[in-house]
Amino acid sequence: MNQDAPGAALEIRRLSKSFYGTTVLDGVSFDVAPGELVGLIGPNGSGKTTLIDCVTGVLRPAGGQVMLDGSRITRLPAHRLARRGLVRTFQQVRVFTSATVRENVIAGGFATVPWSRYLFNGGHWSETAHLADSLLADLGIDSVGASLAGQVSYGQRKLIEFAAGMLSAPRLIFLDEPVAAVNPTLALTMRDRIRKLHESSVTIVLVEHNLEVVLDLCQRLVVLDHGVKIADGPPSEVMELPAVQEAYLGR
Amino acid sequence: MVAAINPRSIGWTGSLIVALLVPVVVGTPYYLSTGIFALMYVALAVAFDLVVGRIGALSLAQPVFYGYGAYVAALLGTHPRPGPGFWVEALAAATGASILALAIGIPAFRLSLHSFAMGTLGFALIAELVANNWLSVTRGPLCISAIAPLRLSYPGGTLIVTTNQQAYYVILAIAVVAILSVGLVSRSRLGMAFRAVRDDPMLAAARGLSPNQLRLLAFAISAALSALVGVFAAHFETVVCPSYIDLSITVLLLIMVFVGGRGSLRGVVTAAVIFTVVPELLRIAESMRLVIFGAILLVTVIAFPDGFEHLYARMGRFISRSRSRALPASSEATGKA
Repeated sequence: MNQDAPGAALEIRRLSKSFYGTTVLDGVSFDVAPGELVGLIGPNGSGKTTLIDCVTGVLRPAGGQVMLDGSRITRLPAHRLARRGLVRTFQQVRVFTSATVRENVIAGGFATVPWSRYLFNGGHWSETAHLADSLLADLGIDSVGASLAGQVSYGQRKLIEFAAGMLSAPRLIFLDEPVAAVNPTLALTMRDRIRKLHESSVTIVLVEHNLEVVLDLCQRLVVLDHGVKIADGPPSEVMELPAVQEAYLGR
Repeated sequence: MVAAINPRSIGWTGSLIVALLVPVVVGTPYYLSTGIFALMYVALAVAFDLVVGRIGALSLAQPVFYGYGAYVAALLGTHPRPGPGFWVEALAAATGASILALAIGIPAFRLSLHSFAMGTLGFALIAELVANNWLSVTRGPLCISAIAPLRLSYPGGTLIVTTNQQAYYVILAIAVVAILSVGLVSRSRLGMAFRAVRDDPMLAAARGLSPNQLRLLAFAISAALSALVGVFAAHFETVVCPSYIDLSITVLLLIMVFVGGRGSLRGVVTAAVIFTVVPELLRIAESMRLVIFGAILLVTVIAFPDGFEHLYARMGRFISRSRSRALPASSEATGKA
């Protein structure tokens, strides 16, 4: 669909990881095309978050390779991957608790600035702050902008993470359960923003248990079970597969 | 208009004015030297807090850098050789201490943060051993003595610091430099990056910040500032001994930072002054001195678990509340007039 970028945005090859002898990822491989919105699903403990951790440099994979836009990124540290536009949110939402909501969003701008600019608040940063303010307003959390991030609701913290991710200029973003435990109104907002992000040609990998959201947004699903990829394809086909029905829906 | 003045800046300006007047009011050289020690610890504690409070790494190696600065000054200028003067010594001490901080920090930060504390403790013990046993350089427990007075050149002349009053103003300037640099860093985006690493290193990395590089930077800045105090101390005491690297200094700095409130400039400065001046005042009751000191420490820790910062924050809220009550009343009064 994107003709000027022939290769995959992300290539995952035989990725494996185990914790204390328990295999969590067992040779998982799949590609994500530029601009694609892929849903990564599977029951609890199937290895989805571990896969994100291994790709984004939080964990070191035991084996396999990861390529971002054609270059090898396996085992690069997380901060360097973030600076290359590989952004993620966390399933267990994380915020800087001693900073305000607004500062948390602005912190997303660190990924796009060189070190030498950290001492000065002008230039790039006023632009970042401006962007942060419009994102806060857009997501409807501008009223709590001055509150400490540790004190706002769980759903609002999910929005903070999402907004901060936007400010990191993502080329590819992993969204780890963005609407889990978020109230229905916020979930609708979030769904809408993910769609907009997709339209702005950012590549997205969406991990989500809410099947309605996944089926609504994704053109392709990758299904994991016990660390193995059991299905990969268009949602309508994938959901019909007996293995998926058994693993994911318990039928 | 009154509301526009920040009580915080009143506090800082007031403290600076008081600090400037101390030598004028305090005539006794002994009490003035207490003021000098207080300011040395203000600078050391503020620098220490950059690592412990702002970036959240418990370093137990801080006196190493202070001692390093003192030895640099001692080796560069002992009687009758006058030494190259403050600026050269300060530059040599600060750059050397930063490099030393990187040498200690690069291996130590590879460990978890808990092991970092142990690792820096190891380096501190090694440094003390070196100071005690490298006799050809440090003269070991015999100490390097007869260090020449501090020579401070400025455009148009050179000040040779011989009186306690002069020394007081020099260390006051160093303390102000330490407070200003830590204050400016923590207000900048760099300070925000430090806080991010302290709050959640994993999230900080996901935001493109390298936790270890930022920790090293904070560690190096802190080391450079501590070394400056060491240069001053060497000339002021005229003797440098291995006890400069003693663990008791680490303990005292830890008390100041934790009782003051980690990451709080005003809290740490207050604690540094209190915990240097009070023990000296307690010399009046020499036999009970340590008991009273311990009691004060216990009471503060129990009454203000978050340190003096907690007290300041409560005072700040009280002032802003009473001000918002007072303001409508005063506008009524002017309306009637």
